[in-house]
Amino acid sequence: MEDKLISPLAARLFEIDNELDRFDFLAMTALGAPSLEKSELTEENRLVSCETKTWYRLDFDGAVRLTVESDSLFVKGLCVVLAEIAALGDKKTLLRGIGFADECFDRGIVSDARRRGLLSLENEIKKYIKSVTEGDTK
Amino acid sequence: MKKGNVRTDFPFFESNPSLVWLDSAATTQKPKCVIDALTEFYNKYNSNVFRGEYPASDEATRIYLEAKEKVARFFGASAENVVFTYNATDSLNIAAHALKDRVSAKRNVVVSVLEHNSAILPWMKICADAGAEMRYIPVKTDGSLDYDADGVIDENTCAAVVTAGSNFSGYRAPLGFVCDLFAKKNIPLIIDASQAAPHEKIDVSRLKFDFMCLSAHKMYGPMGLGVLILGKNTEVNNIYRLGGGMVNEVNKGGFAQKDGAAALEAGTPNVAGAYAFGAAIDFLSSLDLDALWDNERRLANILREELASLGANFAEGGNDPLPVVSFAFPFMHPLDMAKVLGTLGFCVRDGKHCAHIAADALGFDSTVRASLGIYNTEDDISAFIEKIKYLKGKYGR
Repeated sequence: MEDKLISPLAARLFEIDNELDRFDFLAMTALGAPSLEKSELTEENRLVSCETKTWYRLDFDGAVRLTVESDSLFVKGLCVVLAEIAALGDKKTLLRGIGFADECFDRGIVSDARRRGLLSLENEIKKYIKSVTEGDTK
Repeated sequence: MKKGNVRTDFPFFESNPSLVWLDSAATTQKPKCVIDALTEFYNKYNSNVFRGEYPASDEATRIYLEAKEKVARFFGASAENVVFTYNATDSLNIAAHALKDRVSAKRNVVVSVLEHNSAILPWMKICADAGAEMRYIPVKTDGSLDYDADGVIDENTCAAVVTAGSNFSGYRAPLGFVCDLFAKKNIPLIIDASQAAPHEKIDVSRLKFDFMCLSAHKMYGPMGLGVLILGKNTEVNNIYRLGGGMVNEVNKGGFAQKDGAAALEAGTPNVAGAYAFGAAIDFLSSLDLDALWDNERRLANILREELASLGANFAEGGNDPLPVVSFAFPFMHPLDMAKVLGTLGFCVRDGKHCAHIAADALGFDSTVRASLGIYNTEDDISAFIEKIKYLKGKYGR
C-alpha cells in the first residue's frame, strides 16, 4: 500500500505464506475481536454487497472505531484487520484511499467477490469520516 | 464409443494434478480437442463469416454453419432454429425480449423460484416496466417444483420461464411434463437448460417450447458462446440486438430483418467459439454418455450419503437431481469452508450461486456447492470427504 496504511495485524497477515495458516490467523483474529450486540444485528447495520451476513458499527473518539460481526470467520477476520488500519490511520490518509481490499486481492488473499465486499466497507468508513468531519455522525 | 475414464482428455488435470475440480456447474474443463480447435481456427480459418467473397471467408462460414449443424443434431433441433449467442444469459435476455410485447398490466409472467438470476432479472424489468405481475412456482419440501401450486399459472399468464435443472439444488425438471403443461395453456415457454444439458439427453424434437437457452462452456465447450434454440413454431419478433448481419435491406426509411433465427445474430459472431463448440459436440458424441452420466449420478449419491453422515444440511433437489450437491454444515460458514477447501486443492463454489430467490426458497443464506462432470472419479469424492472430515475435526469442536 502506497501510503503505508498498514497495521500490525495487516503486516502479520501479509507475512503468512501458507493459505491455511492465513485462514487460521483470520479466524483467531475474528474470535478474539469484540462483537456487536445482538440488537445491532439489523438490516440497517448490514454491509451491502457482501455475500455473507456482515454487520458493522462505526464510532469516532478521535480515531475511527469499526466493530464488525459476520457469520463468516474469514470475513470478520479481514474486517477486524481493516478496523485496525482505520483506527491507526489519520483522516486525511484514510480519505485518500485505504487500499486494503485491493492489496488483499493482489496478494491472492481474497477473491474478487470478497474484495468488493471489503471495498464497500472501506467506502462506508470514508463516508463516515466525511460525516464526522462535517459534524454529522449519521 | 469411448467408455471409462475420460480424465486424460482434459489437459487441465495434467497441468493441475493436485486440484480436484468440483465446480463444473460454474464451468467445465475443456477437452484437448476444444482447446486445439480454438487455436486451429485462428491459425487456419480466421475470417469473418457471411461477408467476404474470398475463399477463406467462405471456409469460415462453412465451418460456422457446420458447428451449428452439429449442435442442432445433438439436441434434435433443426439448424435453422439454432442461434449462437454470447452466453446463456444473452440467450435468456434475447428470449425475454422477444416475448415482452405480450406483457401488460393485469397480466403475469411465471418463473420458478429455482431460476438463475439471469432467467429472472430480464423479466423483473419487463414486468416492472409494464406494470405486470411476476409469479413464482414454489418448491415442495423435497426440493421439487410444485407446478400445480394454486394462484400461480392462470388465464392471464403471458409467458413462463422454467429451469430444466437448478444450479443451486440440482433439481431436475420433468421437461416433457413442463412443456406440455404450458403448451396446453398456450403460454410461451422459455427453458433454461444451462445446467441440465451437460448431464442428460435433451431431445427438443419431442418438446413444445418457444426458446431453450444453454451455454457452451458448461458442456465442455469454450466460454463466450451461448446457444438459443427456437421452438418449431416460434416467431422471431422484437429483436433485442440490431446491427450488421441480421438484415436483408436497410434504407433511410427503415430496415427489413432476415427471416427466422438469422435475425437474432447481429454483428460478428464468436466463430472460433462456435468451431470449438462443434469440437466439444464431436467429443461428447464419441463418448458413452449414458454410462458417464450414470457415473456422475452415482458419485453424487455417494457424496450426499457421506456428507449426510457427517451432519450436512442439503438444499434438496427432488428425487433424481443433477450431480450438483449443495450443502452447509452448522460448524463452519460455507464461505469459510470453500475458502479452506480451496487452499487444500478442492475447487467448489460457495454463496447463493447467482440464484438468490432459490436460496431463499430453499432456506439457505449460503451453501457450499460441489458439482460434478464426466471427468470426476471416486478418488475425487473420497479425497473430498476426507477433507470435510478433517475440517470437522479441526473446526467443528
